[in-house]
Amino acid sequence: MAKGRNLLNTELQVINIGLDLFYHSLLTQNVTAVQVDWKPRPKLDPKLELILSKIL
Amino acid sequence: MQSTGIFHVLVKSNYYRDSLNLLKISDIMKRHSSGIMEAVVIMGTKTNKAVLVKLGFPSSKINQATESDLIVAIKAEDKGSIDSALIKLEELLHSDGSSDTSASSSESSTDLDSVLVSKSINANLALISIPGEYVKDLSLKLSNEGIHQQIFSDHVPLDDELIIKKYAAKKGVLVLGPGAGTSIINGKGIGFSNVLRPGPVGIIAAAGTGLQEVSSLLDQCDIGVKYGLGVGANDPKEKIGGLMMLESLKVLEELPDIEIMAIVSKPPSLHVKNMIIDYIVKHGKKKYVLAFIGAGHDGSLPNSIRSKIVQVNTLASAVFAIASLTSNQLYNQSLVRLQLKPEILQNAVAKEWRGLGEQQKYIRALYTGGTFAYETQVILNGVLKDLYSNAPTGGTKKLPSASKSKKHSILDLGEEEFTQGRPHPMIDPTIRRLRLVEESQDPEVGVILMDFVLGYGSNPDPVGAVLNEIVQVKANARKSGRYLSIVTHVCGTKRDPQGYDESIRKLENAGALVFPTNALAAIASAQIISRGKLDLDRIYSRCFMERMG
Repeated sequence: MAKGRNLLNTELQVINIGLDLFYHSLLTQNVTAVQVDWKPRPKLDPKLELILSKIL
Repeated sequence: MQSTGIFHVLVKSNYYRDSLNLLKISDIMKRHSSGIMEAVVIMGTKTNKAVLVKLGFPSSKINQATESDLIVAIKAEDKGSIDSALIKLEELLHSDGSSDTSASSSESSTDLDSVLVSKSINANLALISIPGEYVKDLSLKLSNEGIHQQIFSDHVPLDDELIIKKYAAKKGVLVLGPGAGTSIINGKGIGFSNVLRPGPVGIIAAAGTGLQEVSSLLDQCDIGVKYGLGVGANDPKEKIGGLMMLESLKVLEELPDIEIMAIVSKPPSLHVKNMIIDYIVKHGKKKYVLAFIGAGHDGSLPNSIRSKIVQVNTLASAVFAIASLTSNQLYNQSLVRLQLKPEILQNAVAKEWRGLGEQQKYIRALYTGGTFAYETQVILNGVLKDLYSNAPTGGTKKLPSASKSKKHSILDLGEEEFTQGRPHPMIDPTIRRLRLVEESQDPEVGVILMDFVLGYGSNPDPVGAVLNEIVQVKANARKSGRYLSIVTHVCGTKRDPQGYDESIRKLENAGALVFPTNALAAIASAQIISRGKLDLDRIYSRCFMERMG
């Protein structure tokens, strides 16, 4: 089985995706962290979405 | 709430902002001008629209909004204040609500691909809190990179969760959640978490508040927790098959500095339970506490296994069991600090029921922590009749509508019907404030039971956020010739940023009873509403079973 990155026995380094209050809590505890911007995909007209799904 | 003022409602079509960002904007707008009496900027979900109507805003305009629309609702003393607030709103929306805070996220935020490509951080964990429907694609991408994940997001379809976890297991990646609010990794709190002392305990928990309660109570008994992995409430169910519970068990078993392991969960499916026990029997090198809340003792376990595993029935009893595995001294200390003597509780509640009128027969529990709502039902089932909940378990009946309580009602305010498009109630107290006032006006209500969860991620002052309402509802009850008992539990540690002792002091000054565990707060509520007639020895034996052994 593959092995993910070392998590428990090493320095914690976090990508926070979403609520930035969690990011600030990590910084308060001196955890290395970056905040990632996230916004939902814009909702397209269903007809346009169907056309795009055929093209892409 | 004052009844005069001008109401202004504006609906912005197809305008998304996350609920926490909007909470921040609402707070800034309220503070912006003394003429603003109320300002709520919120997505147009069903729950949010109901809240606005309860706050007195005109339903005709509010109900025009759809889930993808933004609603701006302002109540002010004059039109000038509204105009000024609207100008401020535009400014805030264009700066993502961070312009008025000292720590702006935009300084350090970027997009995921840039982070992964730039290698500016050698990330080993991603903390994800985005709407559930978008989680799967993101999770698969992170698993491909070998990055472990804690997914706080709710509303992730169960089929998505299975795909996410199977793929992660194949890649050797841990996925904590969905719905995992809390984890502790190497003593650091991720998400909703308390400031804990380090120590020899590792916890695997299906739910966040369960992990917070056990780890905080251990801290209060001078026992440290180094790891706490929250796998999400669905993980121990048949469909997900305990995939991440087992993976977490495997990784924690490998850590030499963990001596005691606790697994805290609602009763898992039979298959998952057998799988976990089988793993412990074959590979377990630690001492184990299985806290399958509400499951009771499994008498079918062979004696050889019983010596390796302590089984308990409540969160508090998990703490006593862990303490008993550390030393006699810490065990005895835990009994004292967590007040495990029926006479202490009996004395504390005696003056409460004497004030109740004949008509006051029911408890209303307003929980922000889901595990507390669950544990309280486990404790009160068989003690009180006519239990209802929006998230029922055991003999509790389902409330026909979560918005209207019935007889004894135990509400989990973190459930979907209360959180669509809103921050979790541990962050935003609005729904509980409104509900507290509503419940207090029911002449049949005698006790209101509430939890207050401290720590990182929670509201900066969860007690202060409802304190005015507590004082107000007690005073209103007195005016109408009733006594309203407010029973509470504060989940946290003395080093939490909100101030544990200060939180308790504020509650006691407001006339509330405060208990060191949720289990005791639940028993106290039942004893008050039963006018002191319950057999506490019998209830304690059932709830804190290891005390008998």
